[in-house]
Amino acid sequence: MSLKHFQAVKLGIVVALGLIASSSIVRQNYIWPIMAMAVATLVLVLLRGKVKGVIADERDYEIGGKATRWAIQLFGWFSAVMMFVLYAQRAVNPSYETIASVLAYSVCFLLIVYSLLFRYYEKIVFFKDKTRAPGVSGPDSTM
Amino acid sequence: MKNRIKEYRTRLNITQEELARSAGVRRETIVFLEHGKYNPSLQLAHNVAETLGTTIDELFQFERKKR
Repeated sequence: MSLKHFQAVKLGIVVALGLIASSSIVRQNYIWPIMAMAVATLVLVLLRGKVKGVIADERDYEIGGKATRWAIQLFGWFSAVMMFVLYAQRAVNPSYETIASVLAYSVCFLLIVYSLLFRYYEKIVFFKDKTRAPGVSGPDSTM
Repeated sequence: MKNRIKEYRTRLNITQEELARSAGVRRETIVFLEHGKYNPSLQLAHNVAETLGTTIDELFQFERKKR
């Protein structure tokens, strides 16, 4: 499968997912979008393996890393500001407090996941790669 | 960082697409490399140099930055 074909299929899947999600909200059926997402992910993973060209390279990963860091920072700042604004306005509408709590917890969750993954890739994966390299001794002999 | 990728590529009559395929990256990455707008990893620099039949030293001219 060519890269262009894969991208066309990916676009089609995204459009189909959007249609399924919107129609399920109207019908108040929340099982279909979850199932559709699972199937779409599976199909994309299977198709990804059949693509002959390079889908993403080191430059994409570098840009992705920068974009992710910025996105996390912006989301963190936006959520923190909005959280305080909503808490301050909870007298106007009590549901603001719930929204503020959801924002606060989602930021905490995101930062914890980011920190754990960062530590995993920095320490564990990096160390494993180092020990796998020929001529490099293992952890016991270096300490 | 300056480089001589385009010079070597045209000398060998290789397209950006062919070089990208051989180095295992997308064509856009080769475009950015040739314009000196992307610093490649050591692995990519090696792959490009190998495809062009030269060495990293010959292909990339590093400029010493003032500290």
